[in-house]
Amino acid sequence: MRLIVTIILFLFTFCLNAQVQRITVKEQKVTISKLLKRISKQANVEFSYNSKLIDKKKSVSFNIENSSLDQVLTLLANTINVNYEQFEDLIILTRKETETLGSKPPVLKSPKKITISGTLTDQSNGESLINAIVAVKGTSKGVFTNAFGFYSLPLTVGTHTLIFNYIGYDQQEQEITIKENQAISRALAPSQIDLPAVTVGLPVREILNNKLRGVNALSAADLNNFPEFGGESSLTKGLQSLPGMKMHSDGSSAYYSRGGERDQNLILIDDAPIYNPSHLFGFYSIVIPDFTKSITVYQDDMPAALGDQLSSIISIRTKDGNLNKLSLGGSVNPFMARFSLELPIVKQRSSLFFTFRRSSLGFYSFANAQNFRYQFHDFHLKWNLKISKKNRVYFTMLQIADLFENKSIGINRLNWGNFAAALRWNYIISPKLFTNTTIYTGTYAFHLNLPGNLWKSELGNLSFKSDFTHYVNDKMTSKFGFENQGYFILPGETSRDSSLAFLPKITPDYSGKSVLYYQTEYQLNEQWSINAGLRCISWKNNGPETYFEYDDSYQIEDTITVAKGLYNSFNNVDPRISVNYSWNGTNQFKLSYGRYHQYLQILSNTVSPFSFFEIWQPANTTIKPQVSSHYVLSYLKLLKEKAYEVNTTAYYKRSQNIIDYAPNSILLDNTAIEGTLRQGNADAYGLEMGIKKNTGKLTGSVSYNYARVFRKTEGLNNDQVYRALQDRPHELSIVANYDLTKRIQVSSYWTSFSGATFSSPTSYFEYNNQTIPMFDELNNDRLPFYHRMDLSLKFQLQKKRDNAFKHSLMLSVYNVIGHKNTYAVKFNKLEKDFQNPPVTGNVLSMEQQMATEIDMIRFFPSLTYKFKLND
Amino acid sequence: MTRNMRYIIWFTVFLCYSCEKKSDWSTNTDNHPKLVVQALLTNEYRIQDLRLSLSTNELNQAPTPVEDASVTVSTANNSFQFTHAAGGRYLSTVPFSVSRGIPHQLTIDWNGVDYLALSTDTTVAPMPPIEFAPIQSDSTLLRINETIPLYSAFEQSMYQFDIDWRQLTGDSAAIARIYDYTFSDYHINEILPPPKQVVRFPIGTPVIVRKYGLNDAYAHFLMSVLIATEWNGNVFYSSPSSPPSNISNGGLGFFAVSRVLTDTLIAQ
Repeated sequence: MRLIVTIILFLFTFCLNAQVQRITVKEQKVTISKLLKRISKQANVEFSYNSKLIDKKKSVSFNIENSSLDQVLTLLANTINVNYEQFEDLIILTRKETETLGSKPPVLKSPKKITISGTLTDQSNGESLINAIVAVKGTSKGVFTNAFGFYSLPLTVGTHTLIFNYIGYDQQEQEITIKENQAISRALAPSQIDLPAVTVGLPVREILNNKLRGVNALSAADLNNFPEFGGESSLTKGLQSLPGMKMHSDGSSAYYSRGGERDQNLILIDDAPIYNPSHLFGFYSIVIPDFTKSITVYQDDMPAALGDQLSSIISIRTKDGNLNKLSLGGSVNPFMARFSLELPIVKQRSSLFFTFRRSSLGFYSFANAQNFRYQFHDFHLKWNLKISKKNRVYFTMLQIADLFENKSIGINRLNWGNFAAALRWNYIISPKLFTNTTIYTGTYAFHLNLPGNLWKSELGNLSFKSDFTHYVNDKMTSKFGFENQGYFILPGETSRDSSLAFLPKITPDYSGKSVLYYQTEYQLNEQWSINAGLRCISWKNNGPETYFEYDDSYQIEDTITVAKGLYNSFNNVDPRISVNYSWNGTNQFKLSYGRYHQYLQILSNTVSPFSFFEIWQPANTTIKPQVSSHYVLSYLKLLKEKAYEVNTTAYYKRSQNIIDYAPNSILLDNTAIEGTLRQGNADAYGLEMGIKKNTGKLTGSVSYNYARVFRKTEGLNNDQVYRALQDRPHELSIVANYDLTKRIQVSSYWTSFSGATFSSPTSYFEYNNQTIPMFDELNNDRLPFYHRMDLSLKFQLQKKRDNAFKHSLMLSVYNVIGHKNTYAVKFNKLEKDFQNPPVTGNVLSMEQQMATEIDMIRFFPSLTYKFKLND
Repeated sequence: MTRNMRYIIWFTVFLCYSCEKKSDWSTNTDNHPKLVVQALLTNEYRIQDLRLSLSTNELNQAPTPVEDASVTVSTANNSFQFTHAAGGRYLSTVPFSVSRGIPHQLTIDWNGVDYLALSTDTTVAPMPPIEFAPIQSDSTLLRINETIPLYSAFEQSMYQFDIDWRQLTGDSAAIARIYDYTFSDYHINEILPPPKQVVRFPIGTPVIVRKYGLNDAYAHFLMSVLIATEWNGNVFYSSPSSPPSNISNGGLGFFAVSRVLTDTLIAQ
């Protein structure tokens, strides 16, 4: 199937390629206007020029046959007496200097507002640059490119010096005289030296705004520099290093944002949702850094265009693929191998990007472990095509799968995986109006095969979204759009050999969501700006369905069967607003409020780090949508030539209808699963402080967070407030990267945080000769403090940094200090002095039981070889 | 790569991985002791018995027996008194069997408080074949083969294996009791449970198997006990909770009536 898709894409783009090869124009008398149109049509380029400098109605003679675009443009320049400059498929015509000498510039009656727009790309590979800056030198005026590299900058007519800037790229400046709307696109060259992230002359207020909003909180470069686990960079490990994000424990991909639950985080890859971002029970992340272009982390002030999750949204944009030349890369280590290929199909117009990664753990299976098998793989594909200057399409596909077998313990096969795909169409309606339309899907499936038994949980959605960005004027930008989503949810179904037993039929759920949103950013003056938005959501449950109604004691009191069609809905309007105040060009305060609803949740009462055993369930007649209000005050200051950032954030979150579970709930194959749920309130508050150094040989960050989360749920913990699992008051995190030499970089990551809460026994009793623990208080105990230090040494093997072929060796050690980080405490094991103490089998044995602590990884080294050609 | 090399890699990896060690973890268990009821009456016509004790605050602490309670089991038509024998064990004053499908009420008067509980028996499905499996390292030893289904939509049962090979070895400690269960639900903790102590006994050991039919409430209690004990610590463990009780006024444990089947086997 993948092969067929690839061939179709190749054929399609090669057909286009064939159409733009040679140009023929034979005209004895033609107006310049018509001539330009003919060339434009044949060469698939656009011309930009000042109509007051070139007489479009003037007739000229033009004869050229089967020639290249360069030849045609040379003849054109001589014929109509202009200079030309080409930027991708945009040709800019200007009057020759000799012609302008002595001529008078046109007299302008009054300053007129016009707009320049265009795209910024990487000169080396044609990648669009996200959040690059286009600014007017000497002013505070400037804008960022959007997720597709497009910008729109309102200006007055006249002469301006534009700055084009992006971190890690050589800054460009251009003086332009503009009199009408104009398209200006630029390709920036990657810098060979480290530059400050913020330089004088750029729109600092907007930069501060973006930083406070979580834009580029984590980059692919950050991930690559991060000390790796098992030879592979991990998105979730990177996220867990950010202030406000807390990890579950070693070996878990779960993370908690500012006291939220682990299912309150949304990961989007090119707009398509990823429901489970982990491999190998959470040790590895599915997001391959080489495939990643930008990562935006929203923990507050979430955009109205995205949602609906209560705690965080991680929006990942993938690389488009090299538009200029074939590029490849990869890595090999004892645990996995990865390979990527970037292939320009039509130079500057279309490319393909493949990435494939596969674990090599199966290789280590040997004679007495024949029943054991584990492997995972990822396949990522990106295709893009510039149809014209105003139209571009992208197609992204991710296929991710894990497989685990251990027949000796009765698991025939356990496999889980994600599939996500997004087809996006960018269309520039006008210099002020940009639109992106997306059709996307995301699915997640988990299958557990035991002998004669298959348990499966599945979730999928198909969505359509149209998003508009209106650059109203230099003070106001609006985003608006709509989205329709359809969900298919199978919340855990077991099928068995019918000769063994009969299990209840779990019916799938069909739900839908319609969203309208509007958000505007308005700059009141040099100091104050405001960002406000509304997200109107209509969530619908559709039949056919059989569901239960419950009485106050959660017993079924009625069974209701509904036919096909809508049987339940929720309609909510979620407002959000933030006010920014900046001064001195280096300080910014932000106060924000947002109210969010969540309609889809994981039902799982496991607190294990290996948390992929999940049942997804939508809001319905029994499960109310979760809702949360965020109040956040942030302060950001740039220090020392803006090389340092100091960031402080205080927050309070009040959440309602948060899901918890009745004691000893059965969630698997439970047709009345809603009867086991208990919805309550959660209060989270905290203070995050951090300092970050962006430039120099030593870069990194130090952050300290204080955070608390308390819950109260009717019917649990004697109706008293209790600490949430993720209530961990103290957290210290240090990231440091140091360039020892031009070829050697050392990176380290230190994290210390309070242990998770858990329920420990409050008393014991004896029954059937067994000791039974009682747990009278929820989460009454706390695991020991967690400490971990990871180290990595990256050695660049080629001598010159700008070689076409780059390769390196990376030695990483996870938990280099070997600290015992306990993730569970048990009170049911027999006193045996070996690796895995057993639970009691013979209840008459007089053996004592003991408390045990379980930890996972004390020291884990890895060595990885990485290479890249034509990066 | 040679096999030895692979062994070395795996060994290194597992050295770095999961480790479970004894801990001197102290818990906040300063609780007032509560009455614990352990009562399973059956349809066998015999002197029925039950145990009363107090909850403890420490792991491995021997429970204090309750010896001065007044205990009665009654139905709509009958009432049976229990008297204390020893160590918190109470015996019915007359033999009786539980009646099919009739609610039985347990009444305990202790320290001026009445503790009540109700239970009704349910059917017990036929005994399945019980198998023994050889121990690989010693062909003269056997273990109970795990053939009891964890799940059945049609029955909920508890199996009690009493294994006694004292007469074969002369070892006074050569006695074991193992429980196994079939439930109509399955809990996430059942999947990949922690390793369990294996009971090994010689060929020729007599094994008495008792199969109890469980009503829903008792099955839920026993499953909750397993979640907190035998299944606690599996790969996907859930947060443990106290097992429910059908004893009123804060009593712990459970009062159940059950139908039972018994079989005696010689392990071969």
